[in-house]
Amino acid sequence: MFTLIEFFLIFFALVSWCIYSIFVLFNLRKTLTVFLYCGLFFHFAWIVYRTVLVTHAPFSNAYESILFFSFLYFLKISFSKYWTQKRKAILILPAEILLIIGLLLPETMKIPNFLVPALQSFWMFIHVPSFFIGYTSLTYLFVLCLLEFFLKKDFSLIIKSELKQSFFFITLGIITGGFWADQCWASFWNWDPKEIWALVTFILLTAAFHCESKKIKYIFIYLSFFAMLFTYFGVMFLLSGLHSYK
Amino acid sequence: MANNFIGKILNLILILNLIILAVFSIFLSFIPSFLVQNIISSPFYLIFWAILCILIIIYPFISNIDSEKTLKFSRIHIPFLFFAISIVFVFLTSKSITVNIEEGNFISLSDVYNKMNLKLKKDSIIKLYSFEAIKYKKNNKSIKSFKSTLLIDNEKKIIEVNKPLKIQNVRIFQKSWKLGLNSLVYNFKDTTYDLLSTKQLQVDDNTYFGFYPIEIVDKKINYKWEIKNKENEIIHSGMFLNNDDIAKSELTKYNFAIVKEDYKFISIFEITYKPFNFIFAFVAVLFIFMLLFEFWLRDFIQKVRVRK
Repeated sequence: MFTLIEFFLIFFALVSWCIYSIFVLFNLRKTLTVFLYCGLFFHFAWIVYRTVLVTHAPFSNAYESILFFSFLYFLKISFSKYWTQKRKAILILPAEILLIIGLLLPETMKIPNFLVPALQSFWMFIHVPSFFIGYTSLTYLFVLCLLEFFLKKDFSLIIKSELKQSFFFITLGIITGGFWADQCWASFWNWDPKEIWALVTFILLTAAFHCESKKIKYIFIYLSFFAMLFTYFGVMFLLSGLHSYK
Repeated sequence: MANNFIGKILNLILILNLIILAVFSIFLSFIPSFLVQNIISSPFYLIFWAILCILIIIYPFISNIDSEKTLKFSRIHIPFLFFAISIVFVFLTSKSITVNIEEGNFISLSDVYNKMNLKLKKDSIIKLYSFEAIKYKKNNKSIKSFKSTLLIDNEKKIIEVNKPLKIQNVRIFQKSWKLGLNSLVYNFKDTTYDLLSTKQLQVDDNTYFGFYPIEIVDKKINYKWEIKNKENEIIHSGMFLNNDDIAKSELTKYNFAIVKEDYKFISIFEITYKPFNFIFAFVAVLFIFMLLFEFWLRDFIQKVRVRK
């Protein structure tokens, strides 16, 4: 019953956004903003519903965090005044892919789980969202670099601004994670795979910041994005460590 | 951005250095943790972080940048440099040990201080009064909290995960726990055995019986049993769940029964001494604030000034 309600909320959000993307991209209608906001409404309703259901913040396992991540990304694109409807329809594609991944995850991963003792801390509300805001900016940055490459247009101003955002929030995530680890595991840094890959993302973003050549800067942004993907999915499913809460 | 040749060379060195650090770090995530500790403390890895710090120090002096750019450079890079130095400083001055205390047993703080080579002001006795693995009421399976109640100089103090306890200059963390058996007596084919002395029992010429505690469930232990042949291959195995009658009946054909079950909890604590933690915390917050200032606050303040 609970799963069915969740499924429909996410499904309606996905359908709304897909209608928006298809209609705008294929010039069937010039604007369909109502579907964009409808999608946001259903996705937000899922967040509220899931929070009530699990009685903790809705980013404690893979399923919840993927959907939370896609929500932040939709939010970022939906309220951006920089883009035309058509560009928005292209830019929301990564979040639609994330939603589909979330829906396709096995049922066992969607079961509401109780928070393990290590996760019961107020740092969870700072550390995890910081990373997800950073990841959202980095995903956006990645799509922008690709768009600039294919459309041959200059998005350097917005790329610079997003690079700052992703760098700041990933740094904030690492540092607040250090404070939390000191309280929970008695050490700021434990060389856990997740920590190491967060550090790799930080190093690559630092390199992107300091590159003088635009092309190399974009290569570092692509690399940071792939490092971020590995931090998130790779470490979650392939490597085990302190951050594996099974 | 560097506007002279040396500045461009330094920038190139920086990028190369960052690439090496990234590759090294990726390598660290795929190797066993005991090797990680050896590599990160080796000069071969530390040298690249040192180069990064040296570049930060020398860059404004060597590359021909104006005073405004030097100030902009310093606002982020100097806090980062302090941050890096504080990490090394905290690492060098920190000490930690792992202590196991059985339920009802105690340790003295002076022993802990001696092991850490620290001077103690006043000795205290730390006794583990009780340990509990508290479960969520809703499903009665998932662990909500590990709670150690300590008696420190006859005063009750509680330690949980994420809630360390500070005594004098050290902090005590709930690291883990394990189960210790005082005694476990069981009956097998009408003979009584003690698990602590007979871990594996020879039933006949070809068969061995083994019985192992695996998990504690609500003050009762779940066990795993195995019957092996002479070649040490498991020929039959199963779980003996104390609350599960079906699993119990599986063992009745072997005339099996627990006669006495007496266990104790052992709480595992990490005791740390980090006198300069506050420096690290201060510098980390400063670094974050300076990033925030340089990225957005400075422009915001300027805009407000222009409007006025």
